Amino acid sequence: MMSEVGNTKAAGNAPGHAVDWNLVFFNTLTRSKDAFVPIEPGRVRLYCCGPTVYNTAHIGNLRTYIFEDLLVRVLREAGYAVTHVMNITDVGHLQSDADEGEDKMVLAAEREHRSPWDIARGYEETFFADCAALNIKRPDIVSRATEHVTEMIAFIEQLEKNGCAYVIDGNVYFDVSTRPTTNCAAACPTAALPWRASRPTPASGIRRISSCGSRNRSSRDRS
Amino acid sequence: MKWDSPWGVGFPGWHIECSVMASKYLGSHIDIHCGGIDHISIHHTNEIAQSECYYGHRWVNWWMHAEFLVLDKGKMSKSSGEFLDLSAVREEGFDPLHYRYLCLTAHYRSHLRFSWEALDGARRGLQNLYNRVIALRLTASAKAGRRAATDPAGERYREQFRAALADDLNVPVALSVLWSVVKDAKLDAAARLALVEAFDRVFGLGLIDAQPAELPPDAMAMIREREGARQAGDWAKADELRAKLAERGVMVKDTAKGTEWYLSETD
Repeated sequence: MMSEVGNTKAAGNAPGHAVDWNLVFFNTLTRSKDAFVPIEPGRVRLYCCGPTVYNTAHIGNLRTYIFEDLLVRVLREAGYAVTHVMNITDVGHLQSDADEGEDKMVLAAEREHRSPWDIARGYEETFFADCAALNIKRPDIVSRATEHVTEMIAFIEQLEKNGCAYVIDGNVYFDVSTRPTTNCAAACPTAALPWRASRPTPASGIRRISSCGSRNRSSRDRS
Repeated sequence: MKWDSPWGVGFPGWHIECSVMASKYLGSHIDIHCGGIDHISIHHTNEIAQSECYYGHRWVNWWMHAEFLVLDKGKMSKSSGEFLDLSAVREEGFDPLHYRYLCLTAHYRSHLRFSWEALDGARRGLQNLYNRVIALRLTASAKAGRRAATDPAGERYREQFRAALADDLNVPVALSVLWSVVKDAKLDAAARLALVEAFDRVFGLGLIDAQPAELPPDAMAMIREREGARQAGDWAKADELRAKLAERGVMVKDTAKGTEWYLSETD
């Protein structure tokens, strides 16, 4: 996996003179402003969550993309070779961020009487037109979820092998009792469905997610 | 939207998508992961959990999150119904770059309060900046441009600009450095222009290609009339029209290619 980055030509300028700026960034992980040190000198691997393309982006969303654009521009000015990757969520984002309810794409398709594919490609185009109008540079790599399903299945299979996921009625659940090594919000992972069955999920399955999540949450030490 | 899988027909979840695609293109260890602050508690926490259980080691070193844009009524979200997109901004007569400029006036970790009045303030600020850059463009000489690279005052501004951005991306302070540059009458026009061009590689406001705001209604007719007068050798009339244009805030400059015009600086 790492070798792809080493070979990519997408990463603008040559690395090597990125020491003068002494960049300090706030890190949500540590909750402090820390001196920025990249994994590999002169190079920055950056991932930004992209839009769920079921509607136009509101200007609050666009503020985040403007911030990321500024970050990329500063890193490049400072001399880093940046590989900027952004996803397009064109499947799988349910009504609730915590993986409950229906797929936003499917609901939008019903609302607009178009296929989910038309919805996805149409709003993706609008998104990049908005970004261009805001002088937001296009990421080096834009990846659509629907074009990476094979990789996602392989990833979930490995999670199963690692004992971090279990299957009920064709749904794969992430085992929330599994402890990650670092943690973003000092919160435990909530219930998540790495894979959701297409057929209607029985009500018992949905209850199962909720109870599973709350059981694990309550068993943890929380300040 | 469904796919065959070892567990039957279905589709992937949102959190796994980001875990998988980020790692596919960036590897198992990533420098920075960004998103909106609303993604911290669920989406990013799940991404971390799944990726770190997959790899068995730390996945991302730096998480950076942008704060909300807030309306007077609270956070803007699609579900609340209070939902403005870029087409709404255009319908109110604003350019998208006015919104970009507004975003530059707040630190990314601070709430940005949105109102049409605030956006109008950003529009005036950006147009003022454009007018100043246009004026600099008209007065800068190529010879001075070569000198600008080594100007100590210019280097001081560059240092202030870098220091602001290096301090957790303090764009509002960097923007104030840009304003100091365009207002610094002691620094020659070409040196100021060189700084504007360098700084705008970060700001992305299109400053070097800045166009003047719209002319007052009768100004274009007066500019044409003045050109006619000059061609006819009626210098008195040309001067009279120049004065009338200046009263309306329109400055004219006669060049080999014809008359150029710009709007005078306003504060």
